[in-house]
Amino acid sequence: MTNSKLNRPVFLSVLLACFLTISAFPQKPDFTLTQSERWKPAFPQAFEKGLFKARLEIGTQKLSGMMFIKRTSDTAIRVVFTNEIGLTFFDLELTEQSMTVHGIFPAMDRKSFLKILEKDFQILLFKDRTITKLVLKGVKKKEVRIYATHSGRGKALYFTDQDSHRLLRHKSAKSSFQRTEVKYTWGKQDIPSGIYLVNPTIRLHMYLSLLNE
Amino acid sequence: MNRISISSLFFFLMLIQGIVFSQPGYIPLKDPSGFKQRLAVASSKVTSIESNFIQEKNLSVLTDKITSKGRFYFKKEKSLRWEYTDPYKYLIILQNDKFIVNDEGRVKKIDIQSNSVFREINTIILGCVQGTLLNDEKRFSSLCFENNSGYLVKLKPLSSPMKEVLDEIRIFFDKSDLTVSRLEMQERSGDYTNISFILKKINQPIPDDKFKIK
Repeated sequence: MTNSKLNRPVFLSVLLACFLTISAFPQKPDFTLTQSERWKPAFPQAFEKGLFKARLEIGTQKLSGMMFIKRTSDTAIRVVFTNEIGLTFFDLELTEQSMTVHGIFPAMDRKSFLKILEKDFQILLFKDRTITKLVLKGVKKKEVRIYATHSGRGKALYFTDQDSHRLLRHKSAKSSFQRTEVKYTWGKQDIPSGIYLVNPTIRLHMYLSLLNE
Repeated sequence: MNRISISSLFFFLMLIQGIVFSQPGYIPLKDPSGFKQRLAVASSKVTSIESNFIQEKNLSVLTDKITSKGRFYFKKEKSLRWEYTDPYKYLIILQNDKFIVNDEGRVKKIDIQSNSVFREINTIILGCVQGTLLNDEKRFSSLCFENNSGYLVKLKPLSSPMKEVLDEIRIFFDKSDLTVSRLEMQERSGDYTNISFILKKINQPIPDDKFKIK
């Protein structure tokens, strides 16, 4: 009884300290770390470059050719889309927060189109570091884990392979302006062998198939 | 924006265009009109061309090149086959006023006469075959140069949409037979594409099957 009375203030102090510690950081758990533990980004930090056969459909317009994607710094990735004979459709440099247009075919040089393209490529190329809430929504066929997230990009679902932790699908919430959905297929490399991105807002369909696998 | 029209437009320009981005040793031609006449005569004698090609897309900022390879066939009067084999398969055929594109099994056919863009392309093709494109002053301004082994023709597009995209097209001709050995398309962004024609066979028989999609 005596020991118990003596320890009570210590116990309460520890409890209070824990409470204060938790209360001090209620909204800022390290969800980036949490995401990394659950799935690998499609284009990891170690990614250097990849050449894809590419097809873009924007409404009734259809473009085809090659898409060259290359990391140009720790924070930037360059995306160059050319037609079969080498003429550049667009040449973009993206970071997690911005996009620089190095070149674009005149007919595609529309601010609203470029803004959507910027957001879509950021979803494709960069890990979302703004996730504030992440929950396991369910498990499909015992292999695919589905996570629901809230982040600066809005609400989204991530479908991941349970064993390899590879990203299989990303789907933004229907309520989001950026209603992008991306499906990934994988081969031997650490980047996807196939990518299908669809954005119904501008009826954009993008098909990428890795050439130098 | 139309995939086939844009690709085909510049693709067919390559039929007669060899561009050299920076060619040392070239001096202005003293008699460009005489050269154009000789080129027209030489072109009129060509009934077929068969060649391999190597295409290199040079990006102005990046050091990387995007390289493609393939096979090129031309047969008078209007048959043409442009076939990419590496790093993927892509085929364009012009036959009887129709464009046919085969993109890994996805086949599209376009009637030239029903499409104004393709009518223009067709005009350019005929200009190439007949050697008259260098005289097409409505579409291009031209400057002619030479060195010991070849001729260089620089074409500046004068009309849209080419003018908005391409700064200059440079055609490099072999002096021996006046056929195109290399071409380069200089884009306004600073990027350029170099296409070299190698192992050319002139006036050799080409089966008609080459100009059909099977």
